[in-house]
Amino acid sequence: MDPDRFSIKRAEFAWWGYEVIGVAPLLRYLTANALIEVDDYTNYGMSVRFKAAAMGIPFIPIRDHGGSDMELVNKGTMMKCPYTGRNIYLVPACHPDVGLVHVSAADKNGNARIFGALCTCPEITMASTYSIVTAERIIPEESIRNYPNMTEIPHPAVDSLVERSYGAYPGACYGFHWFDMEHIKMFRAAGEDFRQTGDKTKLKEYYDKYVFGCEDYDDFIEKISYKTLDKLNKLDGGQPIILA
Amino acid sequence: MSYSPVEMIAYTGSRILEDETIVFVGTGLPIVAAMHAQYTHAPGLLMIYEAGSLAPILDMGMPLSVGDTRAGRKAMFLKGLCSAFELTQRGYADFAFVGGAQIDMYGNLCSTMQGDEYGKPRVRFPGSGGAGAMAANCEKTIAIMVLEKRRFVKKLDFVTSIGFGDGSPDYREKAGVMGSGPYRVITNQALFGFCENTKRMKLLEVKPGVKPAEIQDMVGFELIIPPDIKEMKEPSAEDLRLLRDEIDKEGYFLKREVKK
Repeated sequence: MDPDRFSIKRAEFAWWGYEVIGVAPLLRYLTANALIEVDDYTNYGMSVRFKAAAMGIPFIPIRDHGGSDMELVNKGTMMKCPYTGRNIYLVPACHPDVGLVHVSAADKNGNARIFGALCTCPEITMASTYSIVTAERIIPEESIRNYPNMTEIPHPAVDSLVERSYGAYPGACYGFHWFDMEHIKMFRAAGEDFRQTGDKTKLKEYYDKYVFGCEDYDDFIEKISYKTLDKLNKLDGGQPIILA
Repeated sequence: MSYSPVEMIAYTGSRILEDETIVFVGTGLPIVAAMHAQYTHAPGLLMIYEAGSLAPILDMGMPLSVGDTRAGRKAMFLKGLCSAFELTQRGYADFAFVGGAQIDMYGNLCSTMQGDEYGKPRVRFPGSGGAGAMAANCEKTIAIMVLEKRRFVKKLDFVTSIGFGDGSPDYREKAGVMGSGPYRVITNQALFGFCENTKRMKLLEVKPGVKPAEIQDMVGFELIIPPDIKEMKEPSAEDLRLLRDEIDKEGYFLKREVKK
């Protein structure tokens, strides 16, 4: 890997991989060679760290990590609850410098609506010092005002708003398109090739074509065929969403 | 009708799940097993998917991951990760359904790394994901494992998901977790439970034709082997049809080989 391009020194995370497609070769490479410092939490642990930050509090008591070895390595700490006297685990709030989330729809002010699982998108947006929201569609403010309960991210938390269809690609966007398994497989295979052989040709080809070879996001999406995008739209199956 | 080791695991997983309960599923075979249970003996079984979905109707097909948009299909409640895990902290999930690379006699699981040094592992796995929190706070934990000596070990390289810890009676209480802990361990050759008093892994059932002593040989610690070992029930032709033609049609999880 090119040290001039690689600047991640430390990762705090819960899971790093490609689900059904396989484990992450670059995580294996970086950790096996001690090129990155890692800190393990559970999925809830990381999500709730953003939630604490979104709530404006410095830490949050939770009921996992205790009794596992994550307790020994991560930044959390066990304490006695001042009210019940029982053990409870605390994790610190996490305030990213920059948060980047993709939403189904937002009005021009940045009030955002999310269909499908929210994952931890609202909390991350609220927690980050600077939040960038990309929206599949821009919808009228009137729609937001008619259904204010459906706003998952309030506009004061949003620093930049970008209208960007296929902004979740190669991931999925509920109600619009499914994920592109073939594209993720291709990227993973390039990484695995590098991890196994040390030959970075395929990985470099990927980055040269899909990242460094693109001036903007349109350039990136233009490299994905219409047939592929059309197939992904159909695979979503038209999950119901409310944009009006 | 012949079946593969992976099909036996999925079928056994289904058999263990109960009707009118809530199961928190991980990616892969737990989803397959829970869908099979819904098709057969447990139509009232509800699933939680950690990206935020409770009780979806999977009429668009099997989700390929717990974050797949299909996992939110026609759900009754669809929020985010915090909401999903807070259901478990509050005690609403009956079963956790997880996997791991290693397990010990007290049902603790490793899915983080192998090697001596945390900072420089020999093999790095993706990490806890939801598993650590599921094993902590769902009422009962069901684990899926391949039965091999290198996986059933005396000491884990890293405890990712809490079981009964060191076996002491108050280990989980001191850890601040809510669930009662390990319940079943499903493998292709045997089904295990846990002894109530010692918290140690106990053999319950073996695959037809397999002897308990052969199971002990594949495990790196001493099992409790009671005299009344049953045979694992085998999937019927209809069970296999459901698994192959209705649930995992493309064979994403069922066609995986059990690595030797």
